[in-house]
Amino acid sequence: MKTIEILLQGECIPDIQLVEVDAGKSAKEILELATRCRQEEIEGEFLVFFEDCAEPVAKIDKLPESEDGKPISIHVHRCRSVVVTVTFNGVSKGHKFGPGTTIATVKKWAAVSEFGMKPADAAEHVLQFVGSAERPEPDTHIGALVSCPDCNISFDLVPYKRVEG
Amino acid sequence: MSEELLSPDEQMLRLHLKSGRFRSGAAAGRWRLVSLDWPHVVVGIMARDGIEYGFRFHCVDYPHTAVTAQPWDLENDARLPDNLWPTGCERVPHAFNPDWRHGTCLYLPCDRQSIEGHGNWRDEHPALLWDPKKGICKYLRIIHDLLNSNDYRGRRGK
Repeated sequence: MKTIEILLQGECIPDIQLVEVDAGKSAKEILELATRCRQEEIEGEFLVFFEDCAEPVAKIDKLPESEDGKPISIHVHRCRSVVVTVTFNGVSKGHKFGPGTTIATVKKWAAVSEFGMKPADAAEHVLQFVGSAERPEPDTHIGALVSCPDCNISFDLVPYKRVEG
Repeated sequence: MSEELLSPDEQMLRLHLKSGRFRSGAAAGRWRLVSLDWPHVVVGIMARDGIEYGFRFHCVDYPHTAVTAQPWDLENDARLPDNLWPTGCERVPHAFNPDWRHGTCLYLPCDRQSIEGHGNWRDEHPALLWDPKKGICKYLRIIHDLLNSNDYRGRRGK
């Protein structure tokens, strides 16, 4: 049987899990798969999202075939949306995203759409957790960084610094 | 060679190269695995102008000890000539400096050789330090960020 690769992220799922499943699986079966990937048992209704989509997938929907052998990026979370706040030069902007939204998408929204940067200038900035020096990877889903019911997260938009002696 | 005959550091590197994080970057066209000949792994990383730069990582004691990366000529399987190294305006030429340690590493806090003698980097650039949990994927992302920044200006040339 034909198989597809899934890059799975979600609540209490460590990093990005690469899993291979038979083609034709439904979203409901992905929920069962996600249960096995979680680091702890959590109760509640989980939803399946495609990467960068605001709305969840219906449980009966079959997963699409991957294009060009590329894996499908999926997110599983109890939060229907995540409230993101990004602060730059003392000004904060907020927006609701689907939990499967990538850090790269959030940065583009903040830097270009909200703070009016040209894409070239946006490329010189990065999202950083508020009160921390840690910077999430661009392909990390924001839902992987929060746990229900605290479905919100805040970042600073900071410029890259030159490394010198 | 079967997995159980491999050293623990090689096993960990192979595990990270098969991880979802590495696969995600490869699927997005950010990088690709070129070869693995322990203790070296060669990875191609895409720049924003479509040039693929090769990097050869030395990975002994991975991931407890940071790796060190050298720009690598993928066609000739050799050190990349100086004129073919990436350059730019500020951040990029500092990071990719063929005069630094005879071109054997990148001038970055996540590099094993370069962090030596740069204790100040731990306070000044905590986000660029080596992280054993993220391993080589973090180093690859840092290089990819540089090669896709506005600062990047192609190859050095003559």
